[in-house]
Amino acid sequence: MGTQVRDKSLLKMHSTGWWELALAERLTPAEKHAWQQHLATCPRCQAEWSAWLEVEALFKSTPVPAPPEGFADRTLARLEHARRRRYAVGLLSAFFLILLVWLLILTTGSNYLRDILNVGDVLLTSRELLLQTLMRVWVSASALKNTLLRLLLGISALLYFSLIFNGTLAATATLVLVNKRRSAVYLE
Amino acid sequence: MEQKRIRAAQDGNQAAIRWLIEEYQAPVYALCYRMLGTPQDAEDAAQEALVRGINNLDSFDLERPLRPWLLRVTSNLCIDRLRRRKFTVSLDDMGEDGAWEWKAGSAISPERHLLRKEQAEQVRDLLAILSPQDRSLVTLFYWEELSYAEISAVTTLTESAIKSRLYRARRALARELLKERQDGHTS
Ligand SMILES: [Zn+2]
Repeated sequence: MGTQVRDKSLLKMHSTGWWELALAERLTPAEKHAWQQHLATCPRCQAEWSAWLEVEALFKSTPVPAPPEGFADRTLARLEHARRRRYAVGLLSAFFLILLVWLLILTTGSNYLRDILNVGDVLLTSRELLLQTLMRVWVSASALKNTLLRLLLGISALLYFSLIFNGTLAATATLVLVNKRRSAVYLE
Repeated sequence: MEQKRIRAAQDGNQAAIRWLIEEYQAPVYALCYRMLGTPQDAEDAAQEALVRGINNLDSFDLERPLRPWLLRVTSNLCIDRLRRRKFTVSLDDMGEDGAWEWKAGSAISPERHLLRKEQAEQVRDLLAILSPQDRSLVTLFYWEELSYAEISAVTTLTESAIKSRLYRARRALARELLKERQDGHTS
């Protein structure tokens, strides 16, 4: 009978639940007493428990060093660097996007483009259209809080605007030349 | 007051950003230090965490406290770095005696004589036996002195999950210390 009770309490005190309570210091005073008694008679628990107390004491008496001198300044510098890099990456990707779109128009949309180009004073109209679209995009972008996006759109617009002017000229010239050559071939 | 400053930082106000860094550098650095183990790694990670936090401040909900949010960014970053470190053992990882110092996640732990080591080294070596996530939990619990609810906000684990993980981690630490003792005696 006596051993049975002891076995039971042993089982209990070796259980995860018990240790969890003991480590969290959530044992009742009576349980605490029983625990102390068990520790005095059980070398296994005694060893682990005292090791645990030691770990806890070690942790509590080992403060973390404060950030080194100048840490905040270095962090600010890094922030600035990261920001600049983000702008640069944004700019570059905007540039390549415009280039890509332009190349796409030149290669796949040349037929369509030729149709437009055949209409007189195409340069003016396209520039006006472009300007209108850009203004619209600009207005909707201004509604957004994101300043980076605004800047990017501004730069893209600028690049696109200057590119399309020269580009349209170049494309017109090329297409007109090609057309003339073609019609010349047909006429022959 | 704090909310006002955080909002100003969200809008890119330099003074507010400086204030934010100065206000939160200590807990962020402490977490990195305990997680990564060396001042160099800690400074690099803490800076990165603060930069990330500030650059993503738009996604921070002003109604909540900033510290757990920042510590979450930091903890995730450190866990990431520890996982990557697992696959890159460099010469820097050599201990003074030329033995491979045991790093997070590596399988073998060479004999160490814990008793002779400095206290700080003891802490570092003990924490090194834990998984990155458990190391984060233990650090948040002991050094950041967060409540279970706050740790839950940092880690997105439930409080009961945190309790049982912490329990297992602490028990593992005790057993590790015992093992060190025994190794120290036999060798
Ligand atoms: Zn026992």
